[in-house]
Amino acid sequence: MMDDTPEPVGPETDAPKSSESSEVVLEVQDVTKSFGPLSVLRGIDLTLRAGEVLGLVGDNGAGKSTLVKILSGYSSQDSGRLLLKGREVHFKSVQDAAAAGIETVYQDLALIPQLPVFENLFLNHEILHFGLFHVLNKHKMRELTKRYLDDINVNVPNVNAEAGQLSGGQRQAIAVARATRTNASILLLDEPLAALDALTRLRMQDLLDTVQQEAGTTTVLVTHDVDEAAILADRVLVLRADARPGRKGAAGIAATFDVEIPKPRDRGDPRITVLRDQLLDELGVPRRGSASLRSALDEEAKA
Amino acid sequence: MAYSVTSPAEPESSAGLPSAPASSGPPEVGWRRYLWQAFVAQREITPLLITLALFIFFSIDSPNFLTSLGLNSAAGFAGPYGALAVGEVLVLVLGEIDLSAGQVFLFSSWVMYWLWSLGVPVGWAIVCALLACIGIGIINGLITVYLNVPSFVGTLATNFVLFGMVLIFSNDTEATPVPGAIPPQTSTVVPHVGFFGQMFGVWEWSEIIWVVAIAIAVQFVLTRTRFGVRVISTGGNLLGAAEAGVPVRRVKIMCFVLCSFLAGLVGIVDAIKYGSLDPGNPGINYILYAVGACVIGGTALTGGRGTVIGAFIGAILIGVLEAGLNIIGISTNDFFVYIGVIMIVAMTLNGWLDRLAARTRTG
Repeated sequence: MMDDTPEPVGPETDAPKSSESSEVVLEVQDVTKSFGPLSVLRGIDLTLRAGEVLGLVGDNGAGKSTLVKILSGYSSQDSGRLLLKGREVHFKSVQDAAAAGIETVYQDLALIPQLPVFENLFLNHEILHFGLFHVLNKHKMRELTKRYLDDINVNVPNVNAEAGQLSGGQRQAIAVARATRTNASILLLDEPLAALDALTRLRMQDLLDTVQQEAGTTTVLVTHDVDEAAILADRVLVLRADARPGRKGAAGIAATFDVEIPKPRDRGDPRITVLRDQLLDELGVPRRGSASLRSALDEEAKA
Repeated sequence: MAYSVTSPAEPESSAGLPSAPASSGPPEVGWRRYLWQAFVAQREITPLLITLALFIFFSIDSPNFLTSLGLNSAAGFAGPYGALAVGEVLVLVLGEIDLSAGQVFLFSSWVMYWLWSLGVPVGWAIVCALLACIGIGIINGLITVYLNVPSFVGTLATNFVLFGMVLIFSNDTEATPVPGAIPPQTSTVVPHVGFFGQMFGVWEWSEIIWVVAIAIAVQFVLTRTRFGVRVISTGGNLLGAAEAGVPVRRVKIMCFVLCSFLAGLVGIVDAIKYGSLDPGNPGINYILYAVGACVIGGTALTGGRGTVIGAFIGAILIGVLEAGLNIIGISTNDFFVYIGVIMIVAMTLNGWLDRLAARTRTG
């Protein structure tokens, strides 16, 4: 537990902490994935503990999204094992993973622009009148959509509005609501806020934090944004695409940070700033470089 | 704490209020605004208005148009186009196209006649022909989904293969039903033919009745069932639908199968109605009219959107135009010019109404 000391976190080993008492709900053991000659994941190991938010940050091409696609059943690993509550699982489809309690919000937004909000919220989990003809119970879906969006304090103009007519933030809120509505035991968030403007992203971070805190859903958050990881994650894994001495392969977990800052977190908390800087260091992003970039931009603006 | 997730340009206080006043469209309040919203939201409005205008024009111009002969002629043209258009909508909503359906329309009846002439009972001959159509749909689907051949190319190839097969096996000889098996077409219900036979083409209105029934059924499937949601999802956002767990490949194959099946079914009814089949008749003409009917009816070729009722109305429009021009004595050559112009007008009006509907909804 960290107090006011500006050293809240620090890189640790890849191995899970032995002192951690929370139940391990998901284990990834030595998972590899290649696309043709391109090796994207080479021997990834990680554990996911009940109720935690595990942040995955990393370079482009480090395999973050590939890992999420494997966990969500969208694609399968070339080798390695997935253990769900200690039992090995083989997801052949997204439905398999969903049946095991794993839901996903993707960076490319799996919403259908032409469908109304309520049909998007229930996509692939529709409420039906009759089993035989799979006739939709639209009335019930509308009612439940209104109730659920109220519950998590998400406002949209109308549940009958097509998703394509909503703002980016509203669409993202619907995508998050869809994933959380199913009472998933594990929620995978793959760059869920990447496409949003800064203000909406902050709001959505608060929404995610609230929904996660209330439901206690075990969550994997893949993000490029180290601030987002620092605000939301209980543990952050840094994935790097380049080879590192002592690592298993080209793409692997470079460092693990346990974040012991109580939630909800204050964005101005100096410990958040320290963590962000440590993550940037680990990712090899030069802070001086960023400052140089800012000053260059300032000079350009003045000119 | 309430999180109002709104567009940056949108004031936060307006979020969650579905009835914000519309800033566009003439009527601003009450029932007139509601009617206006309902009007612009219906993609079928444009073809319906054009069809009504043509109907009124031909009725005034020629008294023969409103006779049984004139209406039957319009229905005769509209039936095949409508049947093909209804099935084609499913494929177009996927963002794909099936150019072989017109040939399937002719192929199914040829298979039925061929089996029938070999002594297979007519019922079984129809079943076998329909199974063949399902097989063609599966092949179209597999070529598109697993070989990743664009459906435009894959189904065009299937179209040529079917056309060639019919020409080869028929030796380009016109097929006719077994003599005496089906009574000649009459304008009234023939007493010696049972209900099954009457509904399978002997009764002159049976084809259009089939098409109406199929249009209603497919519209129901597209708008009221899980399968319909999956079709729209697959066409609207393929990757997103797959990530949400929609079995997009199976959905695509199913739509190709349904398109072929419906084309084959009405093809059989049409062949029995006319009592003969010309193997040299290229089915590609039919499908181009059918796609035209879909487009006139408000189905986008970009996928994710489509209206079966609109496609059916589009087919009626083409039928009324073709029959009307015949009846008032204008050269059939003019028909092609008219249909081209109407397609452009309908598409332009549809786009305008879409933009108006979006503005009305967002206020």
